[in-house]
Amino acid sequence: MRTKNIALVGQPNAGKSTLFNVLSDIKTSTSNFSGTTVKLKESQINIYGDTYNLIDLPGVYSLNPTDEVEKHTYQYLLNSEVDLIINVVDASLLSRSLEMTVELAELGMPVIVALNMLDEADKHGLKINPKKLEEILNVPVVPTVALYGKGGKELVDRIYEVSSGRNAIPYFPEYTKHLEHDIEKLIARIKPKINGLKGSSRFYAIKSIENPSLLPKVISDEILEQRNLIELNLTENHHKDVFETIHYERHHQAMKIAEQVSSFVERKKRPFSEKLDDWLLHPIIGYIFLIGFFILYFAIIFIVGSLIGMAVDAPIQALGNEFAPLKATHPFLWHTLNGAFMGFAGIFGIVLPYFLPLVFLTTIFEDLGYLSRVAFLIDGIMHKIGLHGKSVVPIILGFGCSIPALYATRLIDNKRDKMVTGVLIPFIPCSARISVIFAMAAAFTGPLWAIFIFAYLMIVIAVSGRIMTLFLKKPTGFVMEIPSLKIPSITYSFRKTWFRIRGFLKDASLFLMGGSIILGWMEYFNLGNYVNIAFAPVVKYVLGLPAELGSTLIFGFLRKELILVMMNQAMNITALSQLPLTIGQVVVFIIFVSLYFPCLTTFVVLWKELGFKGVFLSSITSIIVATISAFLFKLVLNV
Amino acid sequence: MRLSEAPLNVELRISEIKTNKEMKRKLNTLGIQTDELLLKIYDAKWGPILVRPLSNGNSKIALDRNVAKSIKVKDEN
Repeated sequence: MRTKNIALVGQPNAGKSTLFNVLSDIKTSTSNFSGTTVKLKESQINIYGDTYNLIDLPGVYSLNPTDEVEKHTYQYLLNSEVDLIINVVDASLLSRSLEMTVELAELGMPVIVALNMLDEADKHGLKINPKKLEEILNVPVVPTVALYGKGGKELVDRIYEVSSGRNAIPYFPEYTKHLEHDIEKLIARIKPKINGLKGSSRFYAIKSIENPSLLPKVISDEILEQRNLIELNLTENHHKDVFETIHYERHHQAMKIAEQVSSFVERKKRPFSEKLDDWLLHPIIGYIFLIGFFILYFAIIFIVGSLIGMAVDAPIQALGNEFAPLKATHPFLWHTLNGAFMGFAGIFGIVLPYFLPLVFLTTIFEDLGYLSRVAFLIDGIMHKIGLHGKSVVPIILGFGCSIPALYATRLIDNKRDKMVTGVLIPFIPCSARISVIFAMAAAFTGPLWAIFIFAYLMIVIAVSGRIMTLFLKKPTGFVMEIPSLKIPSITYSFRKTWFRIRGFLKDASLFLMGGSIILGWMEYFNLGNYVNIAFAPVVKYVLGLPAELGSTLIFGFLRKELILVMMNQAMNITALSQLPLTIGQVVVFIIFVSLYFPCLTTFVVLWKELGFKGVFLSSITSIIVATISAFLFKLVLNV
Repeated sequence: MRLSEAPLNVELRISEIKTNKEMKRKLNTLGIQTDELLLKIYDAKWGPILVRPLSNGNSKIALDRNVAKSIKVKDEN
């Protein structure tokens, strides 16, 4: 017998993932087989001996998708085997949350309503009667406070009841007379056509009026003409787009239900979280909090990161020394092992130490609700380079390391902004590049040049962002709900951190170690000379630098700090200060190295996050901007 | 008047939303639609504003200035 699928559906910030966690962890009395969380968003749970798949779908405001995330949830509900929907309702936003419930009622699938965040509703003086709601909707309604695990057991029992045959097909509220008449006409023609399709004929009739592009072909062929006539008629009567008319109906049905099941009690005191929010969003004090947040955020990441880095350094070096003797006896094997070891050391010695505290802190601030306030406060500034507030966290993370910054672009739901932010991130000098800049500045040019180069890189980021956004479709406008402040669940943050780290290790380690082995072989077969020849046109003639520096660029692709190491080898010197270069040449080289290409791991994560088009656009842009910039500096400094 | 120019903490009724369908749909799902009441609760004269749709209870919605300019409102009192 097929394992039944239960989908958690609800609006963003309604507490779905927290409830998913609660249900995944529940050990039902008859078996101590707890849910094994297969993935972050999927888990198998066992209820009184029966196994179910629990799926946490992305938060959506409606089943009339406005972005990729909502499309995914819509398609999942209509194209996958979903046996039961748990509609997670934010009780503190009852009437708006019930709009989704009304829409799910049209779908005609079994539903249980988890009336979540009753503590938040209570704080705002909203008293709700779950029994009354249950009568109106004709489905089980379970009061929950997922954050504290309340209601989980009762919800499990209701799931078991419904699975054992209890009816949970919701009543759907009727629309206004003339609209019902149109819907009935469409239902009559749709009914014979929906065999094998999930969703009721009523659902498709309403959806055809609301957004015909969502219809399966078999239905749209049948009714499109009639549907277009209905649209003409409705638009004339209501002087609105039809999707607004449909949404209007749902909005009023939900308001009616909310008024019947809830009452409002004037609160004597405003909740503390609201007073705190007045400060966090204050036009002046808010920015003081913001600066404090960023200082705290980066201080923790760099302190914890460097502590972890120091802790793992000794064992990693010891591991490297294990096979050092092979260098003399089996040089090829040594170059292979050393290449793999360099990749391993890169991940566990440099990236992961910073990645761990970063992902954990980002998860905490995300669940707290503060990241959306950061995006709100900084949106005005980001507009200057054609982006929005949500891009600020990834861009600032880029100063630490490009990899976690690229992962943070997942916070950006707008595709255009995510692409532009992703392409800009490799321009941001990460800690490795900053060490190259400062090392060479210390040896040659002095701190002033280092600051000047830094400022130049900031200008490149702003100008590139501005130029890219000019060529791309006009942004759709920054519209975002600011969720109420909530205490994050530590266990859930650890779980989310673990899944993200595992995802990163799976993606990056294979490529990084493989790429490092190839570079080890290049070193073994002394291919550096051929690389120098290949790069000479740019290195020698465009940038006016010695051709021997060409091979350092290849190793810089593996890890930026290797440039410093490989320069000694390429130029046959033992200390940077012995480099046979003028100050102008050093500045040109630093500019080129700071912009030319991201490191291998970044390249891999870029490919994964933005796809081939994104990584190609980023690579080409990097090389062009690096060459032009270095050439300009060469002319100005008369190299 | 435009929402971007409206006073703070005054009940405003939305009379018209002049924007593309995709944005209008997004605003609708957040409780911002014609004939509904809202309060403008934050406006630092630059950067986005904050509104609270009264039918939603306690939610706060951030809108950038261009979106706020596309929404026409009337002072309800």
